[in-house]
Amino acid sequence: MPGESAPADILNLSVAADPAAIRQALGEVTAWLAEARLDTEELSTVELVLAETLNNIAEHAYRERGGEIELSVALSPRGVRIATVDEGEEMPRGALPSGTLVPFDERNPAEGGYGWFIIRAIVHDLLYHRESGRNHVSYRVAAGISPARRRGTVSP
Amino acid sequence: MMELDRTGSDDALRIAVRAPRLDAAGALEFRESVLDAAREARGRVLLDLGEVEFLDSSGLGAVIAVMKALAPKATLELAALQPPVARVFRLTRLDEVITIHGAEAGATGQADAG
Repeated sequence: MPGESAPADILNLSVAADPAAIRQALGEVTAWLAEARLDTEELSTVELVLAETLNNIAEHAYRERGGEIELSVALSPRGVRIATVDEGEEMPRGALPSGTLVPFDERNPAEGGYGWFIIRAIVHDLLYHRESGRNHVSYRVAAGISPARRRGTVSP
Repeated sequence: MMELDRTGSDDALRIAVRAPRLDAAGALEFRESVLDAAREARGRVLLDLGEVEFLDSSGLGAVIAVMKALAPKATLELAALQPPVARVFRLTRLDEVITIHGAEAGATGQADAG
C-alpha cells in the first residue's frame, strides 16, 4: 500500500541519561505503542528491554555523569525496532557484553549484571557499532503488528 | 522514603509496596525503605509486590540486596507478583533463589505459613 510508511510509524525522542528522564521516556514510548495496539505482554517486553538499554547507557556509557540519548522506536511488520545513539564511552573491547549470567550461587546471588542477559534473552537482530565517537545499538522485539494495526490506520 | 504498608509482627512481617514501579529511579529508595521497615525482623518478611507493575534489573538487584541484608536473621519472600514482574525473576533464574507466593499470601500474610 503506497504511503503506508508514514512518519507516524516512527517515534523519535531525545532522552536525558538519568533515571527520572528514562522513566518518563518509557512512559511516552509505552503510551505510543499502546495506540499501535500492541498487546499487554508485548508492551511490557518492550518496556523492559528498553529500560535495560537506557539504564546501561546512563550507568556505563555516561558513567552516571549525564548526557543525551537519541532514541528511535519504529513499528515494522515483524515487530518493534529500537535504535539508540549516545556519545558516551565505547563498549569494553568495542563489543556488546556477552550477557551470560554470572556464575550462579544460590546462597549468594549477584545483585547486578542482569541487564544484558535480559536484553539478549528477548531481542532479535542485535547490533552495535561505534562511529564518530558515538555508540549505535539497535535490535528488534518480536510483536504481531500488522499494517492495519499501525498508528493512523487503526480501526476498532 | 517509598510508601510501604507494614503489618504483622517482627516474627512474621508483611510489607506491601505502594508503588507501581521498581526501577532505576526508585531502587535505592526502595532498598532503604524496606530495610528500615524490617530492621527488627527475625522471621519471615513477606514482601507484597501486588501493586508493582514494572520491575527492571535495578529493581531486581534491590530485592536481592534486601534479601542478602536481612539474612540470616530474617528470610525475605515475595508475594502477588504481576506477570511482567514474575517473568523477570523467571528469566534470570532468581525464582530459584527466593520463595515466591501467590496473591493469597500477600493478602493475609498467612498463606503457606508453616
